[in-house]
Amino acid sequence: MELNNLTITKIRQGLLDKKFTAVEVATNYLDRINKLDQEVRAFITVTPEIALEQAKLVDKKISEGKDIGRLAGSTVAVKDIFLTKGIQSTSGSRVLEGYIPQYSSTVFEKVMSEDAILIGKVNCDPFAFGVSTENSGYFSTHNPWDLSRIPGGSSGGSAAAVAATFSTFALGSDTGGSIRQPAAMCGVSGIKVTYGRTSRYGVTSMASSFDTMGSLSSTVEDLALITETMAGIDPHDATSSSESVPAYSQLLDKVSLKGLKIGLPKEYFSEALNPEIKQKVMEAAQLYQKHGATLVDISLPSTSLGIDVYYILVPSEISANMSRYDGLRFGPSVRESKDLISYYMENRGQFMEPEVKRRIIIGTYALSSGYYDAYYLKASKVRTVIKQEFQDVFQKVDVILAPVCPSTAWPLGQKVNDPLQMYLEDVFTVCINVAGLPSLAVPCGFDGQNLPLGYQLIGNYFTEDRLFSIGHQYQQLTDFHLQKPKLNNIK
Amino acid sequence: MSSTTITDDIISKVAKLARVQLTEEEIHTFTSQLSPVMEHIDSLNSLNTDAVEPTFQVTNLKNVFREDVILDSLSQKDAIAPAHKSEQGYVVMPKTIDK
Amino acid sequence: MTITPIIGIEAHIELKTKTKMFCGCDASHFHADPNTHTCPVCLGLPGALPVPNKTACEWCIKLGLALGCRVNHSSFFERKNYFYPDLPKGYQISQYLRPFTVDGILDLDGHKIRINRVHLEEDTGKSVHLGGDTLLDFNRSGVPLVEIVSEPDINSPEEAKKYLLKVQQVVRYLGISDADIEKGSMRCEPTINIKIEDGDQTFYTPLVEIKNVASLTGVMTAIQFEIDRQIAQFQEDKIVKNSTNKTTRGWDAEKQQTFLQREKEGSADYRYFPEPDIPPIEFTANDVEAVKSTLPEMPDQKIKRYINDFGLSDYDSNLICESIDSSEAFEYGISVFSTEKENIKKFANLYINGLKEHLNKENKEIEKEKINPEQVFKVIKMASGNVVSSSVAKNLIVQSYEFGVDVENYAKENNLIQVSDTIVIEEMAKKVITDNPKAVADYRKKPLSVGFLVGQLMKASKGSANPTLAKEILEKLLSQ
Repeated sequence: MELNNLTITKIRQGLLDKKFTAVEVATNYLDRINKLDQEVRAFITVTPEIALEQAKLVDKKISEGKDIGRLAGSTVAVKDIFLTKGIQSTSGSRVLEGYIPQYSSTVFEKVMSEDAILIGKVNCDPFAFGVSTENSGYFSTHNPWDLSRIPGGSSGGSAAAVAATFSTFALGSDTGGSIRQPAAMCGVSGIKVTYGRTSRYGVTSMASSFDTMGSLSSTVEDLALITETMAGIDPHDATSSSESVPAYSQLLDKVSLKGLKIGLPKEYFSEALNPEIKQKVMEAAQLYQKHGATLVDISLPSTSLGIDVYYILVPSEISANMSRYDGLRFGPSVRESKDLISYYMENRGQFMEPEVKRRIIIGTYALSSGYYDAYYLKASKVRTVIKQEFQDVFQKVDVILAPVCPSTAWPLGQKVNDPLQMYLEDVFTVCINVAGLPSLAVPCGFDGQNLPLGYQLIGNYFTEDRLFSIGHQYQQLTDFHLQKPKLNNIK
Repeated sequence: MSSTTITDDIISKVAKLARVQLTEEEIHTFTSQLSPVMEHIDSLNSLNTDAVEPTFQVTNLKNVFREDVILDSLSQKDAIAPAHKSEQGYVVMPKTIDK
Repeated sequence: MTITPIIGIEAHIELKTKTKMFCGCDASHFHADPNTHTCPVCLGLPGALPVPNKTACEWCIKLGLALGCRVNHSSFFERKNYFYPDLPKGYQISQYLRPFTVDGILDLDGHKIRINRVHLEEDTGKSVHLGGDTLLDFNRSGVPLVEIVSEPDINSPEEAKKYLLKVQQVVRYLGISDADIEKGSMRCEPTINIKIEDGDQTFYTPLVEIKNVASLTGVMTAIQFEIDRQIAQFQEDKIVKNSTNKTTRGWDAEKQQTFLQREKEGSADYRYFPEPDIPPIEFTANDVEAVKSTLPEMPDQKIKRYINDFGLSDYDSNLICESIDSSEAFEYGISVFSTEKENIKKFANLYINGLKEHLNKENKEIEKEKINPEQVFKVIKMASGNVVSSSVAKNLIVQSYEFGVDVENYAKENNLIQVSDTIVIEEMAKKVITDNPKAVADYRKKPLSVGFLVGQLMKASKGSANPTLAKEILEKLLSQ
């Protein structure tokens, strides 16, 4: 039995049936990482001692007949923006090189409390600013399907780790597509939850009113279990929702495909969309149709403004969220400066990656004296319009199906010098974050170069249970999600 | 809203406001990179939003509070552990010539 | 030439909630070891998020209402962005466009000072300079601060002091802060300019904000200094106020002068925007009524009531009502005879001139529990009946307060019962006259100097003689 190709449920059951031990599972993953991560470069910090210690504890519980958590024995790769107490957390940036946090993120603790095993901290664009993981202050991560290409971003390390089966699942964040896009580019499943569904406490803030904490895994079934664990109100996060958490994993067969109204927004199937992706996504839609769903043409007219709303509001919030990084209470620091202003400028200038600086500059400009009305306030109003358009559409359809990104994984280095090009890659994902809606990314095929691609299912607020059910049923009918890349040096 | 052309001078001033040092090269690069971004953003003007209320919170949450009950603090040791320089429980600011 | 100082004051009140504004850390920071009351939130660590303190919000509303403000039914916090080592997040969570309360009024003896806003924000950490280094302590970071901004309706240093004392009194009445200027739980920053009317021309000098005033006297002196400085400056350069020439000056208490502070570049551009980590706060009319109903009777109302219902003077009423504890102790004291104006006036006298004076000497605060209304009533009866003199009566109140004595027994045991026996007094008077020939001679020339002889008699009687009778009898004897 290949211990690195099991779902969360199968791992847990296998442990209970004594088919294998948690230590065996963890060791298997650690060996793979040892052999193959120099090619993929998903990890910033691997945590073998912690992993084996945790695995031993799980095995001990089983041998003593004690209850084990719902994620028991599954290994998790955690995006480095999630603070993990006592374990280096860099957020993919040199600004936090060597930072050992004094506390952990709430959702990380929740996942650990269900006996998951921490296999390591994975690479990402710095503070999650990026769409290709190339902005990381450490190194670029490579797409396991084609090592010369990007894995997507900003949760590139998370997606690559799952695709390369370096871990059972991964934690990521989605502020403008950062889970869905790398998931699609690496052929794995990913969930962007409703804003407020999961706690943001203990995760470095990018854009406070957009950030969501989610996960990536090989199956939607896994995502349901993980989300059931992660979701819920947190007294430390005033924007976390008090909506009760459904038992997602028990509701996977709940939604009937017959009569399900699936909206196809015309703005998402524009000329910008790669024709191969369009074809595969339509095939997915047609598969649903074959099983009784109705496809409905809909329009979200303000889609193209989503990028502009996003790139005003997000950098604005970023610019303030980044102000605490001054090298005083944590993080590396320059030694002496000639005056206070120079101290701040040198410290922040020296360690911040270019993309970090870029976004801070845009945001500071947009908020600066005289510009608030023109930029921040205006964008916040258009945000209302975009939100309302989705609400209007959900009067007509149950769920929206759309591509995730305009292209499949492009070669490393191809777009690094063109920030505007990079920003435009977010066009199909950002409006969902602007509105705060949930969206599930599901693999649905490959292009002519065997690069993965996927579709997203967008639901109304707090309908993750429906999205999981609809996505899970697609995975019962297809096997795209089961395919994994062949990496060099594989035994 | 009139769009100001992004110039090196503007980038320089904003960088100072944001306390982020940029090299001369970075200033030039950013000016050429961010100009098209800001121009793109001007397309928001195409939508009339006079009658629209802004969204500052996508949730419909309001009145989220904490009771006035003392919770555990970090120990002094943990609080200052990651500080670049600390002394007798304080975080130390690096020397600057004039404060 | 007519000179009118135009003064507005921004006061910050540190609330004495148990916890900080946005986290559960202990908000007390005086004398605590550095960085022992901190957490990820108030340290501004990566990933930390603010959650507002309900009590702090309610107390801000309370203060706003007590100052006659209107409560905004929907308000929110905003980020005020600037960089300084004691501000860990690089922004302060404060309020700007829609604060909790606005448009209040404070009456200073008929002159109404308008209050622009009363809003809530968080305090910064503290920096300590030690041997060339700057040390940072974040215990105070995140403590709740209420900011009270007045319109520039104040016109003199004395009025500024009155305003601050009034604000302090209101805050203390509500029990929400110690509002101690020396300890820093109340801070004031006046902004001043001068209106100069010369013939048919009117000029306004540029605005100056004064920082670093650490006492009430300091406020008055700094304002006066600034008034004089601005007048002199204007006569020299004739520069008038415009939208960009407001400056900040620090007060140097040692040199007793203000000095221009280094321009903090960019500090004026705070880039305010709504705080995305905290959902908006809405108060219904019912919520506001509920808070209003918890307001205690405020000083102005109380003083009016004392004047009208008790017939006390404005001066006495002000003294008794200077703190809520004092007024409560007084009203407890009169509770046995609370409608008898005569007795109330008498107790007011004993309270102010006996009890309060004693407490001031001992530097103690009044404690209502130590007052015994039955004993108070006895003392008043004894004084009215001339059983004890008024000075003894004051002492008896103090004895009852401090030691819980029964005043009648105590007076008897200590020979304090007033001697009103004319024969006894006559005997003593005769002796005083014999013993003080010079004073008697003075009396012949100046009848008013009988006071000295009365004093001698009182001394001889250890204060127990009825002074009125003593005077009468002395005068009678001397006229013979």
